[in-house]
Amino acid sequence: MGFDDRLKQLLEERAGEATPSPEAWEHIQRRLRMRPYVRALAIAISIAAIAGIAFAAPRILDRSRVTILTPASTPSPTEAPPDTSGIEFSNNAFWPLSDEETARQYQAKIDDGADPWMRDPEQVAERFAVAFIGWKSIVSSHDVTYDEVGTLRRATFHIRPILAAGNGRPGPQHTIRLVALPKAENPGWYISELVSDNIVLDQPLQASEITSPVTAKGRGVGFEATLNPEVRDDSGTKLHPRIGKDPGYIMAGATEIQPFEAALEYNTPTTPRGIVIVVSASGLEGPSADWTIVRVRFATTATTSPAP
Amino acid sequence: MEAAALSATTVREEPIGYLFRESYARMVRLAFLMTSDNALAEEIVQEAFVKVWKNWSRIRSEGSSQAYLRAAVLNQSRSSLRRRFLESRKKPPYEPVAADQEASRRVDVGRALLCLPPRQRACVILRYYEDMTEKQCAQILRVSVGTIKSQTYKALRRLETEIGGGPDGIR
Repeated sequence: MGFDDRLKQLLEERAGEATPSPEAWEHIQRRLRMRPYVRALAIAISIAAIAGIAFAAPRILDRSRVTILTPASTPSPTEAPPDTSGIEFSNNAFWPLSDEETARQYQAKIDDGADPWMRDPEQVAERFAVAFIGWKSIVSSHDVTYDEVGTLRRATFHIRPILAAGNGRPGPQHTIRLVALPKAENPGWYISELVSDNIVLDQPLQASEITSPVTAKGRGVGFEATLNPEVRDDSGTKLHPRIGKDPGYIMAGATEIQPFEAALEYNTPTTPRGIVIVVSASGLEGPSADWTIVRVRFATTATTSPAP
Repeated sequence: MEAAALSATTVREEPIGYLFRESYARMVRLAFLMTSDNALAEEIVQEAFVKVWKNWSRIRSEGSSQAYLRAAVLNQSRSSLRRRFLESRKKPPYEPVAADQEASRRVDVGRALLCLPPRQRACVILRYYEDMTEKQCAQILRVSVGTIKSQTYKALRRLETEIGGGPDGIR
């Protein structure tokens, strides 16, 4: 017997050791009947995965993208040096801290792992909305865009308030901007500016210097056409409205956005910086649904009326 | 959707049932020669039948359900072996029988086959178990006839070494 014949015999014998199952046909039929369900399940999982990627990818890409902006104006040689006060950290951040030195000390703790929520602008915004404004919570648009002005890093996105007294539906859209310390590797984020779509403030501008009386000018709409302005310094002291002297409200649109303008006199601040707030009046219990807040610097000569 | 799926299944079940009765046992043996694992061989062949069902309209038009089934079984066997190899890369694929054992005179053919790379094994099985020509082997494995020749030659040389020449060497 040659090797080829022996090999054939060997293979036949070996193959004869296989024992096909008598239930094989039932197994195949079961697989055939399960196939449409398995396929439907696979399609559903694929759709869910694609939707997840579509949702997460822009957010991830936005987080990783930093646009370097050039300063707004480039002076000619004969002009004075540009005013960089608008891109200084302390002139922009007001919550939870408002001065750069303290923020740097806090950053060291953040770097050691303290308060990890400070590294996420959306989480900072949510805590600010609850602790500072008094909203029940917020809904974030998750469309965070990052940019830099000078050395100042900024994060900007949209939020909607959920009011404790509301029906649970998100309120009007606000644009919120946060800033971070220059050069921090994993920086904490600080609230810089909040602008309601229903209250647009043309004056005073963010990071601008003001003197009393400061002109609050813009367009807005509020319950019974009323907006409530405030000026606060960084100690939290309310400088305007002054008790017994100011009406505490300005008139704007009742059902649609209308221009407003008012001169706000304020008491002597105890800190070099503060914020100007314009809030719509609310027909509900609790804080209003519309807030616009800008960071300001108090001019050193801005001493009008003594504190009461 | 459920009714349509069941209806389609019923329509195809009859010819596939015929194919099953004609081919299942032989396909399991073919897969067993490739894998030396009875359970895996059954799994491979059952999955091959599901593939046949899925592509039934195309296969029927080509009129070669047997050939498609055989190719599916061989390809799936090779994939399974590749996966198994990757899972146990550090283990030797074949441990020679100790010289002092009685079994040393009687070669385990299954082990000898496992010494071959999957493609060489498929060539040997198709040529010497399925009695196919080199051209038929080339069509099923989708390689050239020259490749079949060279792979078969190498496989036979290796098997001669493993099995030995005398009749006593065959179990």
